[in-house]
Amino acid sequence: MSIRLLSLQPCFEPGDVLEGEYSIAPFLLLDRVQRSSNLLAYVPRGVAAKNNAPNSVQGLELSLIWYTEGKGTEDIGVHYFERFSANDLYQNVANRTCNFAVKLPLSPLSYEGYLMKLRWCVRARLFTTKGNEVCTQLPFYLGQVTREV
Amino acid sequence: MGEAIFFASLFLLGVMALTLVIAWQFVAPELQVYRIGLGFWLLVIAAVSFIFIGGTGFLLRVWQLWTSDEHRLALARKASSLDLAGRGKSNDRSDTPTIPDLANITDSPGVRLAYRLPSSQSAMAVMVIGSLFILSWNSMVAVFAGIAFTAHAQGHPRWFLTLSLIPFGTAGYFASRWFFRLFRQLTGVGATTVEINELPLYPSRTYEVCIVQQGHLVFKQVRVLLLCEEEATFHQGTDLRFERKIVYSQCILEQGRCRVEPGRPLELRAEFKVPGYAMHSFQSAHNAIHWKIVVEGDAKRWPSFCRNFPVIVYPAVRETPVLSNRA
Repeated sequence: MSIRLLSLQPCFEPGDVLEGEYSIAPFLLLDRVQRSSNLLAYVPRGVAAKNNAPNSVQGLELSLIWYTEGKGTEDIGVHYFERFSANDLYQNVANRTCNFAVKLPLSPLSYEGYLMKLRWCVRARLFTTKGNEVCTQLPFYLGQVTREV
Repeated sequence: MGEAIFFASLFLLGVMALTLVIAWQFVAPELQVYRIGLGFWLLVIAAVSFIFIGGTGFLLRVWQLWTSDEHRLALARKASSLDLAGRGKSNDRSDTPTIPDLANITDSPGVRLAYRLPSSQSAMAVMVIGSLFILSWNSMVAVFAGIAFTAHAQGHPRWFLTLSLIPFGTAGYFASRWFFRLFRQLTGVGATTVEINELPLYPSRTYEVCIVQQGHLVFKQVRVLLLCEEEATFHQGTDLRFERKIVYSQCILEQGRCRVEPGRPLELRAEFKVPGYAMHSFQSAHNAIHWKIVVEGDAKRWPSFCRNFPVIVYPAVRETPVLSNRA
């Protein structure tokens, strides 16, 4: 699973629209992909052997969050959240619409302070049928305040 | 997982206890093991509370295990955005949820400029709590002193009580001295009001501020500062600790020796510019960034004082909406 932003630089201004796309390893959708022959092109060689012990996708959570780092206890805030079921993901992959676009808020801005740092990221959390969880995140800057004043 | 097991066990214990207590009434009422009375109802209440606490705790822990942090926060955010009271969207802060509410500092109009800033009340809270402590402590010492004196007068001296009055009385003396010093500092130096021409503040913009100092005293020096302070709250063992760090300080105004008399308050005006790279005000559960105007004064024959007036800085935007223009 991976996330990619469509812009060249990972820096945005408040009110901008953040556009990106996510992709999921095809073998995780294999049990569904095999039902549709036109999608077999996604399956890499040798991957079919792994299907003996299927570990397919149960769902995916995509969120746009800010979180704090530093001396204080971590705080987290969610600006955007969407949960996709396995069927949604299969449809998205089939239609090649694994894109997302989110309008960014006015605040809080990314900040590198002395006691606290405030960071933004796109986070994707993938749940598999075996109960495993894979989390990946892609940081980006919101605003231009990137250090303590 | 451990907590979930604990709450599940509590729930099962409650169910078993309740079943047992009620079942005895039907299975073998002649034995009267749990006769209906005070003990019976106490057992029922205890069992029901076990069921309620265990069941709620178990469901919450399971929910936490099955849902991610983001999912829970998104649900909480959705729930908080529901307008259950039907108050409309007069105070829509969806774009600035982490910036302190502006309404708290714009509800008081000024005389000279648009807004009069509220003073931070931390010193007053300390004084109220301190006064309660001093009263309680000194009352206790007075009662003990009375008992000890009576015992001495009756010819049965209580030496342990008498000797223990020495450290108790000393602590009471120093606490009272600290309290009256604080009281004198807060009430002796007259009221300070700070007015500002516009709120909220935006980076790179210039603002006018007016400071009015009441009282009857001679100042050696008065300084007005614009400060930005980071605040972090964290757990250290079982203690909850705070740490603050001033990350920006700008001297707005510095006034030398001056006299304040009743009916002729000291009035100072100044302009200041919020730095262009300023971080906006921020408040979350454990971290915060506060901006404030601080008035510091050194007065003759009075303890020096420092009074805080919080302001709110919004993030710079390309097209700044005019939220308030009452100046």
